[in-house]
Amino acid sequence: MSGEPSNVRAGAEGDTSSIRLFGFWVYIMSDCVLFATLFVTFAVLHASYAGGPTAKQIFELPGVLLETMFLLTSSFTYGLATLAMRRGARGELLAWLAITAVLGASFVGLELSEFRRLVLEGNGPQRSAFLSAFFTLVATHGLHVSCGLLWMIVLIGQIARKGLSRTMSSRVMTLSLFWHFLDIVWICLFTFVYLAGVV
Amino acid sequence: MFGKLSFSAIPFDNPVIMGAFGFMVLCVLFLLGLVTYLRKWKWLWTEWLTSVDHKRIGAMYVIVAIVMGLRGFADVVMMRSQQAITSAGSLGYLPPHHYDQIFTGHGVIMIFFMAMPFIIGLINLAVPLQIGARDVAFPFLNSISFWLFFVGVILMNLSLAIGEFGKVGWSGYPPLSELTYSPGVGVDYYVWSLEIAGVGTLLTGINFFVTIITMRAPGMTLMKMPVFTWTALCTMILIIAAFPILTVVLGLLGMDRYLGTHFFTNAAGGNMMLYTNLFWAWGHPEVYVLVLPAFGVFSEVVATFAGKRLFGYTSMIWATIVITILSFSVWLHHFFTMGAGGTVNAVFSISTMLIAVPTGVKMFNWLFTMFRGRLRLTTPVLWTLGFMVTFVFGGMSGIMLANPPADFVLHGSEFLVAHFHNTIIGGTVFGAIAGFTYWFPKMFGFRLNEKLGKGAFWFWFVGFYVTFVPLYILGFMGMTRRLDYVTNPAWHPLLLVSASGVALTAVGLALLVVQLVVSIIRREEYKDLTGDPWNGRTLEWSVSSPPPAWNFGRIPVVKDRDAFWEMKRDGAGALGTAELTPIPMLRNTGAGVFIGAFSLLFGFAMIWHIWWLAIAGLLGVILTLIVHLSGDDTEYDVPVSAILQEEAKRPPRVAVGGHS
Amino acid sequence: MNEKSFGGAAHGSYRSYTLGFILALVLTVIPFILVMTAALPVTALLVTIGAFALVQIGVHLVFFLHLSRSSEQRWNIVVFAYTLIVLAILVGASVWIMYHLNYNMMP
Repeated sequence: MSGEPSNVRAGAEGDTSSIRLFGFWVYIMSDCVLFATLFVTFAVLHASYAGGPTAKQIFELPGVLLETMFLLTSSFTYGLATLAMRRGARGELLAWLAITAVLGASFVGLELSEFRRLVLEGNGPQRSAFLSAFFTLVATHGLHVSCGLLWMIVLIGQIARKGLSRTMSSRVMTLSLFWHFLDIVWICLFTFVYLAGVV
Repeated sequence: MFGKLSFSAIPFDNPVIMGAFGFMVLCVLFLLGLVTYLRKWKWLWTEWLTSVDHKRIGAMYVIVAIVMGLRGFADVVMMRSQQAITSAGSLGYLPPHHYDQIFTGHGVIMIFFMAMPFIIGLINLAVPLQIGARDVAFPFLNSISFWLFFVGVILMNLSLAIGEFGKVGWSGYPPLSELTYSPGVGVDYYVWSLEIAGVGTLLTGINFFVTIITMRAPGMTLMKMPVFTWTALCTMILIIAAFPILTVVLGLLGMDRYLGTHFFTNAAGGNMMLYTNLFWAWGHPEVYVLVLPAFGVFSEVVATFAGKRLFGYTSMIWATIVITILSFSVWLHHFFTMGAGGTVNAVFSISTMLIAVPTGVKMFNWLFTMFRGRLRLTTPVLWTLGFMVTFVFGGMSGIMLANPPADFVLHGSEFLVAHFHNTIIGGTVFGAIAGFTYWFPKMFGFRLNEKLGKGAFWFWFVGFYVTFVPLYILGFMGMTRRLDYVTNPAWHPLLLVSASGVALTAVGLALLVVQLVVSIIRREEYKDLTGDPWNGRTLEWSVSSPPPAWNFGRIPVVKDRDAFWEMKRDGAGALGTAELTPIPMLRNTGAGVFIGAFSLLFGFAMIWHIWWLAIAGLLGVILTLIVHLSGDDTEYDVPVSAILQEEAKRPPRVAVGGHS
Repeated sequence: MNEKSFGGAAHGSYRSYTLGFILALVLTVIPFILVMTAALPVTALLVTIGAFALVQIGVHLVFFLHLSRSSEQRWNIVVFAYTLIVLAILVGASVWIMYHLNYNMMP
């Protein structure tokens, strides 16, 4: 740990992209702390029903399982996308990215429909502290996924138009870190919020 | 159309505020007029505002920090004078709802818009040079960081005249900060200015962490880095780990206020104590963010001006690392009195007292560095000596407060106020000024006037004690903090002494300003010809003052700690004989400015509930990013001829000891 | 000149992604089934699904993010380990503190 001399940013593209990836990894660490804070908030408020519905009463696990399948599969398809990219197969890369985006959008869509159902029932985030914490934690993750989707779409557009340069492949790898990280956060979410809530 | 915004938002009926705002407008108009008169708009835009150069960005941070420091100091003058005269029976001139904004604003400004940017500015200036790098890992991100910070500054200042600022103290505790008890826009200004500026800080944390880990010159292992770089590294670790917590906690408060959620409300299951817990989980690491770089500055200053290697480098580093880890384990001491009980309080009391140990180690290392050295009593050294005395007192009062039984009496009293000012002023402010004086020649090419600098120090030093020792005593006498009106005449004499201390400090501040003006006027006389005005030890002194945009023509190869000192000893040729090649540099870009501008629109719109504008601002940020990241022509090459030209301009290296 | 790769693009393969995907699927479906059928008593159930979550996170880290003990991944691991420590303190201490505060101070 102490002291390998480091590379010099003398313009060698390889160095730049690995520095970029490392920087994004560090950003992800800060995002871990962000989610952890939201988890703490949920942990503290998870039983503050304030006369409103409990977790058991509002969570529908089959829907959560379906969401999980979408997101998990999208992680897999993203992996396939990166493999295609490393082989230089631009068309295949774009195809897998598109599939990943569709799966990700399906995930967000399901989440939004769950929110819609709850709000229409009168169990929106304003109902109780528990619901505030639940909505915020899940929606923050959903917002991250949505940003990832936007990024993905822009990337698809850029690669389609300008081809696969070193910058583009570095960006694909960066988004890959983000996408897999979001799936990891989702594991914590479905386990400690949904499953634990129903237990 | 304009949300809650209307002309009634401007407090025409409050002469103090209108006066202050008027003064601010005049200053801004003067500045704009000056730039126009000198026809420097293009220069300002291309050389400074759009710069991605860490040196320029660092200078901008420091300039804004100084200006905001003046505003924060104006708050001090108002508070101390109000307390001094009301305790003598006068009615005072500041109504309570105004006074509450003043102490809230004072805290927010001094911490977020003076101390943080000053520290980050110095880190920007010095760290890449110290590690032998040409810039930071992500220069564009660096620009964004600065502009997001600046947006926070603007929002803060707009709140003076358009609406109000929070009246909730800089920590913004609910339920007071909730909509029920703060229905105005004040807390919203607080939330948004800090949320936006906070993003900038987090990005800086990531940027410099990656820079220090990955971009050191060949041969510079971690244990050969200058101490200031080490403290910067630890500071970045703290920022990365702590700032997301602040983002969440302020975000949750914002959600309560905007969306009617119940995180911290009285009703529907909210838990106000959760806010306090999370706020201080960020808040305590934050104060170490403020002080660690100052420790780094002092290490550099002591070693340089004692002409001696820093004593106990390894223990210094380990002490810094221990402080970094421990700072995450003490935060409950900010709310001993909230009711967690004896066991919890005891655990955090012990961890709090533990953190004094590594700081003590550092103190001894500085002392031993000076021992048997030939300490030159320059201005930075005076600030360092002042720090060593002052910070120790502050630390000791902290140890007192670390005891829950004592804290139950002293929490929320003027004793506490004295303690944290003791450590922040003695540590961060003294360190910032020392660092400013130390690195000023490197940044601008000429030194600051020594006499005025020393005079400023003495007024600050004496002024500090005259201001704050009475507050310690008043704390013992039972005076609580944040009093807008003091009814106890027994406290008057001490409050008067404290106010006169403020006057002394004001003279010190004025002398600093005069020093700057005089030095600029006399800059030819104070010119730094060699790039090494102090006979320095670290790599930033091996380049010219100011350095060229690319910092180093040849990346130095490092053999030992105090890399430059070793190079001077071995002969100037050690600066590198490698073949010169064209240097790729990132182009300046206005994208950071535009992202800032759109963020400002977004923040202002959110505060005033102008939803269409908020969406437009947000879209603007996203679009600017996408457009910038789609660009192709982002780099240019510095030709070898330019490098040679710059090197030829420098006078031949002067031998060790023969510095000007 | 050192060409050091910092936590750079660590590489996967069809094998690693497919294996990781299948493992993750299994590690997801089982907890869901256990909970939906209430197959275990409450405490045991909570501990079990927690354990499954941790293992699945490990699967993601190794098979999708390619975290390993190689020298390129070293700094990533260091940074990750530090973050875990911070998370443990932040979450653990906060929950402990809030529990005590709530016990003493909430009606």
